[in-house]
Amino acid sequence: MNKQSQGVSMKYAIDSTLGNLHITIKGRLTYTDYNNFNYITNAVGEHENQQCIIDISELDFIDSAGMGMLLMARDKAFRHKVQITIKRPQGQVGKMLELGKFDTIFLIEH
Amino acid sequence: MAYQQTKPQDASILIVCNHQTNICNLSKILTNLSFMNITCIDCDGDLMDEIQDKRPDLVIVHEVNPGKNAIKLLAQIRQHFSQAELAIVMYSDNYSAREEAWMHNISDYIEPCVRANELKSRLIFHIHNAQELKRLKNFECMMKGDIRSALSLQYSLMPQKKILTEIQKKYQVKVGYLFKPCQYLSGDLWGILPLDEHRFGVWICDFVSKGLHAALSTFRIHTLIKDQEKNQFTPSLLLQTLNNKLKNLLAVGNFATFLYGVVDIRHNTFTYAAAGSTSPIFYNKKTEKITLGDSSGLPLGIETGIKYAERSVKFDKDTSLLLYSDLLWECLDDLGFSFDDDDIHHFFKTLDGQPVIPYVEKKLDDKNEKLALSDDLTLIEVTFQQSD
Repeated sequence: MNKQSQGVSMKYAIDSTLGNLHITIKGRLTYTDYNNFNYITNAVGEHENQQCIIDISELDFIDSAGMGMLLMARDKAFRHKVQITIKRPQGQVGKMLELGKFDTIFLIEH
Repeated sequence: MAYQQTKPQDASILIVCNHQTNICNLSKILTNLSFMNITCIDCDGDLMDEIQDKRPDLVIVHEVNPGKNAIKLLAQIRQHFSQAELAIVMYSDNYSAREEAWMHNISDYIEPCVRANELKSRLIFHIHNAQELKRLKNFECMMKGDIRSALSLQYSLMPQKKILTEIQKKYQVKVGYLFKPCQYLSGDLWGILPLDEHRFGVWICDFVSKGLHAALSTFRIHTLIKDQEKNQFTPSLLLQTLNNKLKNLLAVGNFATFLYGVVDIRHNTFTYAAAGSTSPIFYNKKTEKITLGDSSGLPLGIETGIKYAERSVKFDKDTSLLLYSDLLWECLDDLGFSFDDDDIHHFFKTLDGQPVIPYVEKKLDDKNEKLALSDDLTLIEVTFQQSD
């Protein structure tokens, strides 16, 4: 499966061609992206017992609702025994994850 | 009273005749098409009062005799009732009046030669639209009333004048606040409570997202905190308790950032625990010293059993403590300033010793009122006793 979003704010790509699930999120992740983010959450649920890498190195901005969406993906991953790794948060996004101590509930690779 | 929608055939139709009603045959035609609620009046009566009283779903201006000016009649009705308020159909074979009739925002122009089924279908279409508009207006009106009541309830959860005066007098501090929901209701809430002779507590909470859902959650946390007030709690213990309770109440993806701190005016300390809230700011307007407290912590309602660090900041006299919602980190474009790490020093330089709340209030006033804030705004400023 290789799927790409057409949205204005958050842009994402889901790639599962190499075995593990690789998700890239770019742009701004805010409360307006809730519907689009469902595609990501559903993809996580479809990859039972696999690794999932969420690359957010090009994500410029995240608000609290965006952080909530990451939590929804985490919940789905837990129920489907998927191991999520968040990769390379930068700038404001890195600050927000640090402020919310998301490193205590996610595996975050800098 | 809620608006009751009827079947199109039961909708009230007012036929306004520009001649004597006894020569108006339209009423009979409509009855034959199963329309049951028809009133026919001539234009010489108290037309506007009639429309105002009956509030028909549809007005049909029937030009029986082209000699009498039906256009004048249309203009007269439209002066009182806009297109959104009242659907008007012109029923006439006076071709020369047609264009002018449309200029008075009629909903349709129907010629008497139209086939019966087409007439029925077109009238039902306009009745349906008019009824939907009425229903929506009625719903909007009810919602506005409900939201006004809910907002007033939300305001009642916040510290009232009496408690603020008591705190200010007892602890020799000044407390000011700003609270502005970005949509009808807010996902923010704050509180203040006296603890003993030299200590009082202050808290600020910000739920994920905005609108009704977040607002309802503020009622929950207010109750949970009230429940704890009888207990002797430390900041970290309060956060632990709230977190465990909220975890069972909130859906996955929802959480609250939170800070509770205890101000000790005898020892000039602020001892607090935070769950991913914005950083408390201490600002001394004399020395211009700015201290940002560490507010990191897992937000409330995500995982149970979290221990929250208790931190302490020692402050000088003449210092103000600022607690605020995260909009103030992101409002540089909206309001021309921000409390973001990169902008905060610039903000206080611009402030030049003025208190923060009136300055931010002015910025909000300057902002075009039509442009809503992108998030709820809460700002609390506690200024400690000034030294001589």
